[in-house]
Amino acid sequence: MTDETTDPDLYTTAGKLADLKRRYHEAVTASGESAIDKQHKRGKKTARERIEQLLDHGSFVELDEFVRHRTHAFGMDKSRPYGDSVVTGTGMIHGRQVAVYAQDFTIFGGSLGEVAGEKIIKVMELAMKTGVPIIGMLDSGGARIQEGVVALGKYGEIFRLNTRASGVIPQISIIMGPAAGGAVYSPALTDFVIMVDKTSQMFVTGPDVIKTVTGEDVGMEELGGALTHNQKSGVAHYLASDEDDALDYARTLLSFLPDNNLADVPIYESEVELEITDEDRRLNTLIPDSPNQPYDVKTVIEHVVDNGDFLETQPLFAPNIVVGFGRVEGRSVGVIANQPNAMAGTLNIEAGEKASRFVRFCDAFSIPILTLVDVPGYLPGTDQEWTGVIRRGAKLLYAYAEATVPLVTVITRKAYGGAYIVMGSKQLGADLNYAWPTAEIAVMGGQGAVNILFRGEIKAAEDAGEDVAAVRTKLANEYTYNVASPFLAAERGELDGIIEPAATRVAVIKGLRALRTKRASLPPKKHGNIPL
Amino acid sequence: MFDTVLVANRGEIACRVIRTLRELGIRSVAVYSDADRRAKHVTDADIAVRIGPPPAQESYLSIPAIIEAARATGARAIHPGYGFLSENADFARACDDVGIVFIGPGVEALGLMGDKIRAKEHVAKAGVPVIQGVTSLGPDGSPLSDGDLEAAAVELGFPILIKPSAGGGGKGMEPVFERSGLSEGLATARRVARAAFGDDTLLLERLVTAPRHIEVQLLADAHGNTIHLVERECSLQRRHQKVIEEAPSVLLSEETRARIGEAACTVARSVGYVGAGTVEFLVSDDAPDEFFFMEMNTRLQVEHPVTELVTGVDLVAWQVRIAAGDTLTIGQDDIVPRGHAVEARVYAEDPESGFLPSTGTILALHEASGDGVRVDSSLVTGLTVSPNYDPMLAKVIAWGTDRAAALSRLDTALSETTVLGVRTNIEYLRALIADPDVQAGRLETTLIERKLPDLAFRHPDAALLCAAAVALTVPNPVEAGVWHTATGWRTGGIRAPRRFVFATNPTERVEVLVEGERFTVGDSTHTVRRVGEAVEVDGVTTRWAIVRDGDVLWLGQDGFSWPLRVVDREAELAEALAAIDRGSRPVAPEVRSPMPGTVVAVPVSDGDLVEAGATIVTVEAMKMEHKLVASIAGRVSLSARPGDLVKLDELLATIEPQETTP
Repeated sequence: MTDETTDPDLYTTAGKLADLKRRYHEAVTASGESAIDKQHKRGKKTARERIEQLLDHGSFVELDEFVRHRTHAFGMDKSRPYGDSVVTGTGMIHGRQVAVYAQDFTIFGGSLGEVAGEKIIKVMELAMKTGVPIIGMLDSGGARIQEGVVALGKYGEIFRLNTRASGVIPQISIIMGPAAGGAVYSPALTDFVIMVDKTSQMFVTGPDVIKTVTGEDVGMEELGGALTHNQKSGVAHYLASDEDDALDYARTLLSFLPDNNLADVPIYESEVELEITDEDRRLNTLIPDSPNQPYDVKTVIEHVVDNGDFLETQPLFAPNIVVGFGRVEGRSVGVIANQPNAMAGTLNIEAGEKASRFVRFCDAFSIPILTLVDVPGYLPGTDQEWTGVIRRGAKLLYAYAEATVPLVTVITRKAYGGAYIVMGSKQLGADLNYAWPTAEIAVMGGQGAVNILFRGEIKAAEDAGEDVAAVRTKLANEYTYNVASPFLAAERGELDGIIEPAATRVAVIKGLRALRTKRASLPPKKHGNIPL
Repeated sequence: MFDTVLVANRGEIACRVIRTLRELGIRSVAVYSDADRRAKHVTDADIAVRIGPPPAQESYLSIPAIIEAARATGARAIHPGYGFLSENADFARACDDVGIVFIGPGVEALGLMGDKIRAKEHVAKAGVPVIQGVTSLGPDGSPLSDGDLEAAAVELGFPILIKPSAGGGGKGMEPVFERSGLSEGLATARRVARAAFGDDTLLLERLVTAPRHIEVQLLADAHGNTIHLVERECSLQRRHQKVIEEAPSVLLSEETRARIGEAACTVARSVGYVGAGTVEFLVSDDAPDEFFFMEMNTRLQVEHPVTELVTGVDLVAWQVRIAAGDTLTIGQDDIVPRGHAVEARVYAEDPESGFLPSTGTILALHEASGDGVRVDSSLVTGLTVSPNYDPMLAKVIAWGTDRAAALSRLDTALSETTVLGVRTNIEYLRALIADPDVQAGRLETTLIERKLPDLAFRHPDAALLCAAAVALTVPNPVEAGVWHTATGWRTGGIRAPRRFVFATNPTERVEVLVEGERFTVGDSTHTVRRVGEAVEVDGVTTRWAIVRDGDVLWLGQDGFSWPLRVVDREAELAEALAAIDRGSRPVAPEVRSPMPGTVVAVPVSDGDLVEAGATIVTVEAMKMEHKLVASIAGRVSLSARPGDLVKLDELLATIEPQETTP
């Protein structure tokens, strides 16, 4: 370590090198120990620690460590730390290039002023030029009040860049502290938002403003904590128990994603068995005989993907639909599946929006989509209708219909009404559609259908004093067998085949192999008009 | 000879008896409780009869049920094994009453030897040495003088133990090793006794220093022939439970061997003993030529195989023949011990957590075999080790031309023994065998208690965690038998990075990151490859037995085994959510069952106010009662009743903390 008390002789080369070393040391230690301790006491790491942990060891190359702010107002000129309130640069994750920025709460509370904004913009532009994912670690008090409109302007530029980068490079935001006001919209525009439990909050207007304006009394955590955004709002995609968990999730997530929209997904070594194994045969007993019995669709997903390795996103939001990434033959696939274990797997507004965003992400980055269907229909209710299930539910139709990536759909059980069409049906453009023999494809379920079709028969049975429930069940079973049978769909070519559950894994592998060379395009247009 | 014999027992001894019955051409009948429906002894036997529900009282200890099973199957005799009804005189009588032969001694010998005090008096009369004592009160009740006591002491022989007659718990006990110290010892003892108990009446007893447990195996027929089959040494005990047994004992000289054998025969003859039996003696390590009778076991012993291995005599076969009225055709001169045999008892228990019994299902099993190795076991894959019965799983017995060879073979056999699904004491047995004192034959009954605190047990290390991660990175299917999947592991090409979180125990988590051949375990990085069915970690290749059961991965190596819980993201998330939940609610401490077992007592009533530390529920599991106490003071709400069968971690009671009244 150089002796910092004596100034080096700046007129010699050795002196200049010593000066560089000193300045560099100053830049990386700008926070000061007491601020770092404070950060640690909150269960938070410093920006540099976070970057070090996120990236492959020793791969970080910093940008702009000598940038300093230029504000004179309010005595700001007395403190001009190197690097300002954000650390930016490039590095590797699993040996692949990425760009990162991490807001530094220990410097001006991580607030975003002119130069901090410029640093972020620079690294984002670099990420777009080089076509690599960008990961932002947010921990900021918001816009730097001392800098006024200049700071706000930088937010605007960041939002614009987020939007331009959307669908070009994967963008991941990790919320590791406060993100309030306009600042929340940068992560909102990115593809995935990871929030750390207890230490991160996101809200547009804070508890104090809410109290003043509406009189509502709500704490920061309840208003915009990690659990809230994972469970209630669907803003966040993952609830990390701590920072390690959050950083690890980001690394794992990236292993499924391509560098950019023109690059292939990472292809990993894998061995697959192309015969039906004993393990496969377990799926033959998964579907309960009674349609009232739920099962866990994740069993099917984990069965089909390599090593059972399935990374779910938004697991807590709209659990009636499961979305996430897996690999088939070492290549990423996006999986969308109705979850009979939650709300019987019905589609509602939340599920539709969760799934449609996921479909569009996969489509943007050429990740094939596997859809597993067991959907009894849309969730009925005034709440759904009045909050726009028509408009908002249409997003999923739009997303599937617009998708040009390979689409493989497997109907495991119920596929009723409009919900059948939405869930990756042939008519919406899916490439390979299979059904298990347990599938029921119809306008509505047997019980509902007999109430309409056999109203007279049921009335007669009731008048004759027969067991109405038994009659209804018999008629419903007949309807299901005669009308909802997957073989009727297969006869018309609306299904490409009917497979035993045990053959699913092999069918998906072979299907995706066949679709690897798929080329499809949309008519030329500026962009569509998705019912947002 | 009998054509059908019922085996009134379970576990390894039932299997072992059935084996001999088959060799003798006798049809075997097994009995089983509902808990043992799929046990090995049931499938081993020619016929199996259900005798009742899992509790032993209603099945293996139910005399009417067993007699009925014997009658129903036409059994002419019943072999009781050890434990259960083997020393029950009522059972022997019940057999007599219905004309079924009880394979064991007569009712009289059973009754006499069952009463330890009477037995001691009886054999002393027959001239067999017992630990003698005198009190400082004469026959007329008047105190004896110190001179009289000294004379009595000389007669008893040194060393001697002076005990206060009124005392207990070891207070005031005074060992005296030679005559010169006697008067001083007496004075000290009297002073302490008077001060502590207000009564200076003393008791003198022969002191057996460094006691060793030596027992002699006998066979006696109904025609007056009694032979002994040399001794066994069972000094390695933990809380009076034998752990390692061997034959012969290294302590005895040939001359003492002959004398102790003859003494044992004298004991047997004195009660007209018929059948196989064992006479237990205490021998001081300091004076190996003296022995003292302790008790006689009127049954086949757990450790009988060591005798069979050194003498070549099938004890069970002779039990059956003798019961059928045959004459012993082997004489004392025919018994020439050859080599040395050592037995180790494999228990389902966790030595590290105070030998708590362990329960579960056997997921993977490999038992040792080979020259000089015998395994008496009832283990089969899929067997449920329940808390209803004794947790002994198997006995591993090794024979060698000398003791060192036998011990070495036993160690190898134990290291080859793989039992995954329950915790076992195999690692602990191997540590015991490796102990220098055990190797040298310097045994005594307190050795284990002395050495236990210093035994080092293996814990999940980087090698184990890497092996676990390798097992989980093997392609589908990842379920049971991961080593046996159709597709192999190939190197070359980059595999998808994986991250595993393993719970090595309820509180500790370790993360393993797998990036190609680079495995990061916590903070350390290793180069790991799979080599056939073994795992190479930083250039060292070892084999592991691995089996997955739901979210638990069992790994075993060289007798060491460990369950790792695989914490996937879903489980992590559930835990995180639970933690958030807990934080937002007031604490209501719960009393949960530490083990699967039966609720035997609930000393409090629903709604009672209890202090912290009060016993709320007692759960009996594996013959051990576990008192569960309140962690805080408050009002109890019970969810368990006496007699309930409870699972591991089942909620038994909740305590609501109460506002303290001002």
